[in-house]
Amino acid sequence: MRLQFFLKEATRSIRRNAAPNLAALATVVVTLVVVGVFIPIVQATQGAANSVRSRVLVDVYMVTSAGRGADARVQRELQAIPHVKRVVFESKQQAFAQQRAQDPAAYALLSSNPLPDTFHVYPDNPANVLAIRSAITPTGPGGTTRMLDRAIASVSNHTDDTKKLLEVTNLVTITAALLAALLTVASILLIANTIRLSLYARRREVEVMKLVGATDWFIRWPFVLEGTIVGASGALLAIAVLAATKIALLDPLAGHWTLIAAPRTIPFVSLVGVLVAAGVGVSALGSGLSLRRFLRV
Amino acid sequence: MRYPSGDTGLNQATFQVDREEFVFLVGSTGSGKSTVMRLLIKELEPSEGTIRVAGKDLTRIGRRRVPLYRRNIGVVFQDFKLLPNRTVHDNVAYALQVTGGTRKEIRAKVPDILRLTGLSTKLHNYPDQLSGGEQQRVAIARAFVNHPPLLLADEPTGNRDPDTSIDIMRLLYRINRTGTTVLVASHDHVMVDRMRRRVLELSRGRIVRDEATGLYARDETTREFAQRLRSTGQRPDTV
Ligand SMILES: Nc1ncnc2c1ncn2[C@@H]1O[C@H](COP(=O)(O)OP(=O)(O)OP(=O)(O)O)[C@@H](O)[C@H]1O
Ligand SMILES: [Mg+2]
Repeated sequence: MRLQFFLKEATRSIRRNAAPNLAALATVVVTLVVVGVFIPIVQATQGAANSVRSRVLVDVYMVTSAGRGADARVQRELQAIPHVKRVVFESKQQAFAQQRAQDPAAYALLSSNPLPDTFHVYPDNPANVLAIRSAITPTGPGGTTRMLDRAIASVSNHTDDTKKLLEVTNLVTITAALLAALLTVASILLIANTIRLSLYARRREVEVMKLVGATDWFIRWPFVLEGTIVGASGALLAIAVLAATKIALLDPLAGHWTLIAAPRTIPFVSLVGVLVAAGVGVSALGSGLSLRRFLRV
Repeated sequence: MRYPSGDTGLNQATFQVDREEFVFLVGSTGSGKSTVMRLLIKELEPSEGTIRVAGKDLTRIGRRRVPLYRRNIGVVFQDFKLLPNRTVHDNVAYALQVTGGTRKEIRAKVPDILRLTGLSTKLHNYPDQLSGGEQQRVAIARAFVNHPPLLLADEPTGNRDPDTSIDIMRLLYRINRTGTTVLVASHDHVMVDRMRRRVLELSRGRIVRDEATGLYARDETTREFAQRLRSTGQRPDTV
């Protein structure tokens, strides 16, 4: 009976205050869509960054003419460098077999193996990768760089990529957080404004309720409910938008674009939970704000 | 009782009203009649003095218990305070709904009170589709739907023609006869005289007259009443 009364009063109020309620609803939807888009994106970029970070290593390519003797010598030299945790040797045959497996068509055209023997040098800590690299390619007296060993053709590493990726990840995370915070504040304020207008529209009711002896919470509930209905509907609409986008755009692309298919992002069901909780939380905060300020019960 | 603005609402007005009494509160405009009503429902706090209702000191009622206390008092406001976008029925039912009345209670009590107040045919009208007298009766119906032991009516006959006023007074009298204490603020002297009930007169916040005019409900003479008043008259306002 009571819940029914509260619901009836709340919906009545929403109907009479359609404009501000719609404005609040739209803001909540936008906020939650943005949050719903950014949570997986932030997670995906961070996941990518983490996996890259764990794969930080220096690749040392041997000259193609290098024989077993040179390989063994270089391996010893590499292992002697400080901060080197592990040196993994990959022979040109292994490299060729692996590459061919990935792209059989291209490699079928080759008559001979163009790939050199390779050492993968792993640092004890990703931070030391640059030190290892400069130990392999020391700078000579004339400012020229040369190789640690004549049998080494070239050195590559992923540090530049890593650095860039980490920067991008941070940027994405910070931007997403700022945008989400800004929109959340806007939602709270718009809900608060809606409730304030609805308090104003229903001031006679509130006065009569007080004078005939309604308890404070009895007076507050319809307004809290009004905010919650707006917040929850906003969440549901946002979820509908996200689901439609996912089905129409992302799922067909997922096969081609590994970032989207990345398994480490939040499952959709949890995302729904998070968004509904956020919608309701935002509206509760907004209505609470107005009730505290404008409803002296 | 002083308003925060410094205006004096009431000034050392001491009186006592007994259970089941029917009392008029008269006085020119601004004499403090509405202030008495607002003090009694704890809408205002007295700046001095004490008010007792049913033996209970109102300053002792905590903020949280005010709603429960108010459920024992029906009030007909000077400006009615009817809700314009609700029908007669819903206006009356509202008082029950917001104080936790069940649907069953509403179904039982609202038609009854509407019959008592003669509004059965106007059930689905909105307040602006009613005459002033009918609006007053809706206000009375809403105040009395819970059958409170105390009914306050502020100018229930203000600016009505004599017939309408008589109807409303008869309605209040019937309510009084069900055992409800009734306090009516009015400046309709003709009506007050005709009703022959106890009259308290206020002037600039002071009680200047307290007497039973003519035949009293309990066949009490003016002298007996005055005697009773003397024995208890120094007590603070009590109902
Ligand atoms: N909210 C208020 N703030 C300040 N002064 C007030 C307030 N309400 C009433 N007063 C003053 O208190 C005094 C008594 O007012 P009250 O409303 O009790 O008069 P009343 O007898 O009901 O008059 P009326 O017959 O016109 O209804 C008046 O002088 C009025 O100006
Ligand atoms: Mg008045």
